[in-house]
Amino acid sequence: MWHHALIPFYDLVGALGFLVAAWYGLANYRNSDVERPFWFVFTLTSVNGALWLGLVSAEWFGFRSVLLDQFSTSLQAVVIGLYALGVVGAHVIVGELGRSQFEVEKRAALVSVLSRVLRHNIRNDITLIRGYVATDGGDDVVERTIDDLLATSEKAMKLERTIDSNHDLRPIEVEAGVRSAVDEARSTNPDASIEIRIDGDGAVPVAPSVQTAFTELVENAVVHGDESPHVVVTVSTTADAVTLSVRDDGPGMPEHEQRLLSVGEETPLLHSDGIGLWMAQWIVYTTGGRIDARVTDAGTTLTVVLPRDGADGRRRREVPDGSVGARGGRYHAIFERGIDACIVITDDGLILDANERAGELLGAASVDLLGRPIEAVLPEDVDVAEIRAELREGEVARGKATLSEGETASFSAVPDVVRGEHVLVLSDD
Amino acid sequence: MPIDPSVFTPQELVVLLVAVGGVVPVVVYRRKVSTWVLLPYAFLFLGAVLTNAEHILWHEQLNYVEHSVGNMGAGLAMLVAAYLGRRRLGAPDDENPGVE
Repeated sequence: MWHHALIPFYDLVGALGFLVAAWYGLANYRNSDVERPFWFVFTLTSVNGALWLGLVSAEWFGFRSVLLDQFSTSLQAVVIGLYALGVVGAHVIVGELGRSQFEVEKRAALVSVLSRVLRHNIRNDITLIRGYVATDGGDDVVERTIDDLLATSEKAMKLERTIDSNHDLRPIEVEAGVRSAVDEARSTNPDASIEIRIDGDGAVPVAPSVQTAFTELVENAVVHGDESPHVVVTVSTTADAVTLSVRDDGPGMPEHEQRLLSVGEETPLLHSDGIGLWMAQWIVYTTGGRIDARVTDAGTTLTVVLPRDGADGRRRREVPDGSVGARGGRYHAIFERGIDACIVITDDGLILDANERAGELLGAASVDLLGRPIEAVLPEDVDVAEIRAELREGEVARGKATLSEGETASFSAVPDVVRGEHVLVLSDD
Repeated sequence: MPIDPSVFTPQELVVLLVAVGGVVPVVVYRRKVSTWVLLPYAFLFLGAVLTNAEHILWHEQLNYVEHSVGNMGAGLAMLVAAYLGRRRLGAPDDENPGVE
């Protein structure tokens, strides 16, 4: 019958269909990322399908043999099996991976927004409240609470900078990191006695974020120590690991904090009293280490064990040369350590942030400047109204100021470095 | 009419077994897999069934359907699935199949 003459044509069209599908599948394999396993199996199946139907159609054109017939039938089984298990299976797996990736990206975006709200919006408002409270002679408890909130916000910002910059910065030597952490703890707790013991190679490299963890642990030990706290920091290194222990002479770490260290994550019922210990644990965990607490009558010893590079068999990320750090870390360093006074004010002239140098030039602790009107802290010969008018116009304001000891300083005010926030820079002449 | 088992070839029976076994993951995950990924298998399954069924009855008719619908349909369905995936990877389109 005439239509039977079309049968080899149908097989040939089918073979061509598989062939073109294989060609597209290969292109899709090259152009995709998460979907690569799917398109790999798809292409493999299509190639087999083209071969199968090509052989079937060839039989109709006279290329008949038992062996060929058996081979083409076997190929049919291969194509069907490959499709059922390979293509469908890969599709399901890759689909799950894609959904997981989407969820991860969604959560990352949410974390980013929450972080911004915490460190910017809430922090700004707390700063302004502090200014009002300080100006109106407010309650010490209220001021202390506000300062604690600001400190928590600072730690959250520090954590975010640590996360952002950890893969950009060069490793630091463990001894240098410990000494910097101890110096920082000493600067905020001058009554504390902190002893450092180094056992082994102090030049062993560690991730720069570990210094932040060290700082939190040492400060934690000082804060929870005795009236005149004595803290011993010991660093020891072996071929496989770096061990840091921080021992204090305080009443002992609360049990719920110890459980937090062993559980490893916060829950609504089990959470740290502050962000510092959690931050230290998170940093240690994400650098592949562990942290343990031991409480005795003599005090608490926190021990951090970090695997040395390659010791745990995991690949370490390459550290690019010469990079300074993530955007936030660099600009924060410039703000904090600059030799000029930097003050951030709102449209209403209230101080949102001020570096240490600003406090030095204006004769007050930088934290006491927060939330106050700028006209209350600048020298009297500065026309603040004119500065604010120029900032409103989007213009840079410049001028001179006479400081408390008769020294002169030059200032410039830049509008809208962030929308609604302006920077005033003072440098002594 | 009793069926003579000698009409079936071992290879074609294996094809049928593989096709029947392959239905399991396809059915289990049918909701997680787009239609254009399921369709080629439907044609392949049809071809596998007909290649055996034609030995029992309607040999010419089923043979014709096996090649025209089963074999050609499978090849064309694969082509369409790959093409739509290519279009999606190059330019996103809500109607495109492939992995969602």
